[in-house]
Amino acid sequence: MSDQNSEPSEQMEELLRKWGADEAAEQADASGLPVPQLPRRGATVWRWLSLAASVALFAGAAVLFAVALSRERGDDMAAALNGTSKADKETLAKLRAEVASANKELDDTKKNLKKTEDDLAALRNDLQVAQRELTAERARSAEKLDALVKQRVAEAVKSYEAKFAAEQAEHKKQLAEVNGALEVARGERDTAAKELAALQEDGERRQAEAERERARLTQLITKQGEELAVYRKAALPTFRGVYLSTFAPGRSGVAARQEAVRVRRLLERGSELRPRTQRTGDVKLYDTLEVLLTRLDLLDTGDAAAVGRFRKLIARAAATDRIKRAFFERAPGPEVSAWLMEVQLVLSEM
Amino acid sequence: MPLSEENELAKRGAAGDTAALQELHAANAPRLKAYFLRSGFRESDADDLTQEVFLLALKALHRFDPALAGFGTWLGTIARNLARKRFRRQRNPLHFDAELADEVLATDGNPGGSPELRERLAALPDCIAALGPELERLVRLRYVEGRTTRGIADASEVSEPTIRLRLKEAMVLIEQCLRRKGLFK
Repeated sequence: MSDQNSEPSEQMEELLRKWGADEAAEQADASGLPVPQLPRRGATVWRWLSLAASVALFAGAAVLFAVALSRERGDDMAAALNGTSKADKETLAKLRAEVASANKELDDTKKNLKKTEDDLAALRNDLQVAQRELTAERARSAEKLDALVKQRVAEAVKSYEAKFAAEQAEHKKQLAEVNGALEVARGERDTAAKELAALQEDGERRQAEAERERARLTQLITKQGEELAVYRKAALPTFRGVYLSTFAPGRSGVAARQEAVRVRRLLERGSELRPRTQRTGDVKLYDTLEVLLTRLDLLDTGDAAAVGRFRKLIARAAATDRIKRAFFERAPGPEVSAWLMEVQLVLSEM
Repeated sequence: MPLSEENELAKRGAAGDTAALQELHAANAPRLKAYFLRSGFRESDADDLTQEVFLLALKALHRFDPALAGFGTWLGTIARNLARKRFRRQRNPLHFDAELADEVLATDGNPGGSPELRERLAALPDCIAALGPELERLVRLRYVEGRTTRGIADASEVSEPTIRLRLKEAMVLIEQCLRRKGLFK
C-alpha cells in the first residue's frame, strides 16, 4: 500500500456515514407496527363530563354545609327573642347535635388535612434526601467514569506501547535479516568476481593455446602443401604417361588425349555427374569442362592451327587450376574425384 | 418523500384522514426505529418508542407548523426528547455513537445528493462485500448499527486500538475499490 493511500479520506468517512444511515433505515423493520390512533372524541367528552359531575357534587356538599350553619345561627336568635317551646327545644337540640356532628367532621377533615400536609412534608423531605443521594450517586458515577476513562486510556497507551515495541523489535529483526542477506549477497558477488577473473584467465590461456595450435597447424599444412606440390609435380607427369599409354596406346600428344576422352567416355560421365551438382561454382566448372572436352573430341589433331587455338582456349579457361580448387575446397565424392582427376590428366600440360 | 407532500399529508392527518396517517407512519417509522436502535435501545423498546413518538405526534398534530420545520424534522425532535427521557432503557450508552444515531434522523430515505454521490453509494455495497466477512462485519457494526469502537471491541472481543486500525484498513480498501471503478479521485 502506498503512503498516499494509507489514510482514508474524510470524504470516505462521510460516504460511509451516509450509506450506513440509509442502510439502517432500510433494515429497520417497522412493518409490524400498527398505526397509532388518536383518542376518540366521545371518550374525551365523557372524561370532561365526569370531571364536571365531581365538581358539581363537591359544590352541592359545600352549599348544604353552609345552609346548616346559617340555620343554627338563626334558631339561636329566635329563641332569645320569643322564648322556646319544648318542641322547639327538641329541634334545637337535634340541630345542635347535627352542628356538633358537623363540627366533628370538620375537625376530622382538618386533622386529615394536617395529616396530608405532614405526609406531603415527609414526602418532600424524602424527595430532598433522594435528590441528595442522586447528586452523590451522580458524583460517584462521574468519579467512576473518570477512573474508567483513565484506566481505558492507560490500557490503550500500554497496548500502543506494547505494539510499538513489538513492531520495533520486528523491524530490528527484519533489518538484521536484510543485513545478513546483504552480507551473503556481497560474499556471493566477491566469489562470482573471483570466478569470473579465473574464467577470464583460463579463457585467455586457452586462447593463447589455440593461437599456438593454429600457428603450428598452419605451419604443418604449409609444409605438407609444399611437400604435396613437390610430389604432384614429380608424380603427375608419370601418372599422365601411364594413363594415356593405357587408354590410348600407340598415340601421343593431343591425339592420345582425344582418344582417352573417347575411350574413358569423359563427356558422357560428365553429363551424368552434372545434375548431382548444386553449387553455382561447380555448375560453371562442369559447363567449362564439357565445352573443352567437346572441343577436344571434335578437334582435328592434324590441324596445327586448330590445336594451337585449343591450347590457348584451355589456358584462358584455367581449367586445371579450377579443378585443383574444386578438389581442395570441396572434397568431392570418389566418382566425381576420379572424373575430375582424369579430366585434369587429359587437359593439363598439353 | 418530498417535504411538501409530507406536510400536506400531516395537514390531512390532523383533519382525521386515516390513510394520510398510515402513509406518514410507513414513511417515517423505519427511520425512527433505526434511530432508537442506533441509540442503544433493544428491538422491542425501539418498537414501543417508535409508536410512542407517533402517539405524541398525533396528540400534538394541531400544533404542528410546517412553516417552522418539516414533519420529519418535527418527528425527529420528538424522538430525541423521548430517547432522553427513556435513557434508563438504553443498553450501554458508551457502546453507541450518538452522533451516528442522530444522522439517521437527518436522512429522508430519498436518493438525493449529487449524481456522483449516488454513483458512489450504488457501488459501495460491492466494495464492502469484497472486504471479506470480518472487515464487512466491522464496517456494518460501525456505520449501520452505529456502534462506537468501544462497542465494537466488546462485541468482537478484540481490543479497541485493533478495531480502529481494522476500520481504517477497511476504509482504505473501500476507497481503493472505488478508485478502481473510477468513482474516487
